[in-house]
Amino acid sequence: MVQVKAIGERLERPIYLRIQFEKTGSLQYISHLDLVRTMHKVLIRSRMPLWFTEGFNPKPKMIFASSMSVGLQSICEFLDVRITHRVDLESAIQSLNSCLMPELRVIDVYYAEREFNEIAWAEYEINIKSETLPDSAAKKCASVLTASPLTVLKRTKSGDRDVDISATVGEVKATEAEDGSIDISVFLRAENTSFLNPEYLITALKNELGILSGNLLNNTYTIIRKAMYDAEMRPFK
Amino acid sequence: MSMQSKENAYSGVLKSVLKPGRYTGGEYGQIIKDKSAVSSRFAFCFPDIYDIGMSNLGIRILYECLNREEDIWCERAYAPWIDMREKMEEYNLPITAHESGDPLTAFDFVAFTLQYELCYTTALGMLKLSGIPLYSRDRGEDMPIIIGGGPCVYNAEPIADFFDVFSIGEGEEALVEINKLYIKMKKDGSYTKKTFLHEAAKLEGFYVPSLYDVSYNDDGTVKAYTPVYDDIPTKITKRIIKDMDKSPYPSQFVMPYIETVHDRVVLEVYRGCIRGCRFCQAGMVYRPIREKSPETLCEQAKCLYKNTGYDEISLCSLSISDYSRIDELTDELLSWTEEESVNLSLPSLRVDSFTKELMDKISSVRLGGITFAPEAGTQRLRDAINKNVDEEDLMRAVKIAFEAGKSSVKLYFMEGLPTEELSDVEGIATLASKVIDRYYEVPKDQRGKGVGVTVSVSCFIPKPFTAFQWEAQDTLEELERKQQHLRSCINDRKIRYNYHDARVSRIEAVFARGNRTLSAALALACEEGVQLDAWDECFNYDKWIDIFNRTGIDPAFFANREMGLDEVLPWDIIDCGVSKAYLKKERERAYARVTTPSCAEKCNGCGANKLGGKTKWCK
Repeated sequence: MVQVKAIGERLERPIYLRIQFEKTGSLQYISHLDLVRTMHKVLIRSRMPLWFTEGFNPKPKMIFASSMSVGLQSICEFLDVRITHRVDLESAIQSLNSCLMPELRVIDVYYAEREFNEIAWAEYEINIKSETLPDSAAKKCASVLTASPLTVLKRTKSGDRDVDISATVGEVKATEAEDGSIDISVFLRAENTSFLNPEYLITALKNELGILSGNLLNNTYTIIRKAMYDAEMRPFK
Repeated sequence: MSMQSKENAYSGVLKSVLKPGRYTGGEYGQIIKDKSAVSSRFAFCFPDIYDIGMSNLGIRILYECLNREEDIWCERAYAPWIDMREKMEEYNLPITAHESGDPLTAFDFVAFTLQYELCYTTALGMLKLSGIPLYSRDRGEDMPIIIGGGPCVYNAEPIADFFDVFSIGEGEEALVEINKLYIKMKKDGSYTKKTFLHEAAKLEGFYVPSLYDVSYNDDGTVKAYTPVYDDIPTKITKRIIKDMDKSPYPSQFVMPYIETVHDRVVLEVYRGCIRGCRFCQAGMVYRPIREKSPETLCEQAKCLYKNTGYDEISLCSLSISDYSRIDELTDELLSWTEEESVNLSLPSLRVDSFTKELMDKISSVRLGGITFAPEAGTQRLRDAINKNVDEEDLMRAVKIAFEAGKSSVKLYFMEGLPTEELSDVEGIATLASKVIDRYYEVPKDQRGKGVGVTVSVSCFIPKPFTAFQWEAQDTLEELERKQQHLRSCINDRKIRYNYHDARVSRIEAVFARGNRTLSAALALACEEGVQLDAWDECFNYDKWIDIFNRTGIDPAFFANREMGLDEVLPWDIIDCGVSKAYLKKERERAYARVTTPSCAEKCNGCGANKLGGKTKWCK
């Protein structure tokens, strides 16, 4: 295990270090809280100079750009960590990765310049393998997802209700892959106030087209978050 | 393809079950080896779900010991939860190990750590899901060696027909030895399962049940155990680690991603217990008492903290406050844990060692609830069970807690104890009331708001290798009657009363003192899908009674019968160190209400010292 190298004196005011990371493969099955707990331990293991809260139960300060539900993979996640000393950025990537398994991989470490609330859109790549795909599945999927209204049953704290999510769905592109599966590329709103969980798209497709019904081994889908953008569709970092 | 494969082949199944992270492996800290480069593959199975199994310290230690050997690869496997099990049966998916994703049949050894009797059906269920025949006599040369260990193997007779071999006692050196024997015999061509097991039976601490014939008397009691060869022992003596400071301990834990129980650094401080409470099996079978030095412990603690990043260190022992150098250890640990924002936690403390100083030092004591285990409601009964706790000590301890602002206390008791009378059960209510009185004696401005005492009562189960191993468990009706009687004695709203399902305790008692005739019941239970009995959702008492009826078993014969002092007990085949003569003497003293001092005060000659080792208190 390689330690993070702190540089210089303790800062008068702690700053935020941004960690850009990927969460793929079997790591899609852990929850957001699991991820938070895991990252906490990774930061301790790597000897990151963490700033701790005061009081009876000191905890580091970690802010995630977004929370990921179980089943979602991503290659563009962001975590801001409050630190007390500047660190050697080059070796920090290596340090953090030495405390991690490959499916949870740090790709960049830098001092944050932009705020998370600038994030407006997220780009997803969905792949669907199903025995119950209709003819012209790609075209049909695209038209379901770009329909207005697009109504799904949303689970909220105040109960389940039908919601029109069409305003949160941006550009949609669907193609048929060589192996017969469907690839869908879609932009979804990712602001705090109107964040759409991509699982709802799968629900909509299931309801409208009857896909993914049957044997669980032959009917599967993957969702990967590829990138985040601001309101002007510039890549967020 | 394995459940753990990155191609998401099983994503459909995984997305349809609760907490899929239980099944995917790939955790930080796992050991990956090249399977073609090792000579023995060992699948260590915990017969319960991942969330529980990950906390087992035994597997963590043995995983380390085995994987230190270049030619052995030890992996982990767990039982699926009900929802996953259904899917596995529907789609024909076998149990796979978390590291390689290979099914259990790919291994040379499939090991089970047997921590409690109710896990037997789950262990068998894992074999069934893996396509491995349950009975050892039905398994061919191509099947792995099924090996068992853990506290239940002190009486492994109910499951003896399903296991090829048992490791009795401490496995750090023993398991490496049996693997090396296997590797050697495979290499020099002398290996057949039969010859291997014969050789294993000659190794110290290994019990090969198929090599011991059991004969029965007409009344159903055991007549004799007869070894089928002359060159294997007539009794198997457990293994111990002689020097705890030299014993291997992990410097790294496999880190679960999902939430599991006891998810923190665990330090095993010492083995054995000085108290000799007469109902307690662990206190007897882990003797002789062997301590680790504070130096070793601090090194292990620091190393584990650095490599895991946990924010809590738990000191683990049967009675942590009886560790001879506890102050030294806690002071040394606190010298760095506070700075690093790491909490130090201790399991429940004895009332006689509960002090204000301890409260201030230990976060878990400071922040968490206060728990004590008087076990019995009257001094008379506490003396009989040798739980040497004075009412005065308990009152003093709760007063310290209340004065520090704590307002809730939890008290553990047992009912159905030998020599118990109804007045002892009523004594529990009286004791709880006295604790409440103590709260009101503390000035209003000093004490916390709203006092609450929780009384938690479990049922006594006679366990092998205890002074009470011959005692009958109360009948189910008796146990339930006493539970209700105690309820009627508690009228204070500030006292919360919990009790364990007596029917669960009855089934535990059947298997705790069972013999090989129970294997038919276990096989039938497994066939009918009985699983995860330790879980409320799954335990079905009526089903067990039905299974016993259909296999000709009288559960009362094992649970509710007082066994003869000269009877051959099913577990007489094992030697745990403590002598039967000593246990007989302790039983007599119990009935005479005479206490026995702790090992720290006086060596009482239990016999465990004959096992040697760097012991703390033995003469």
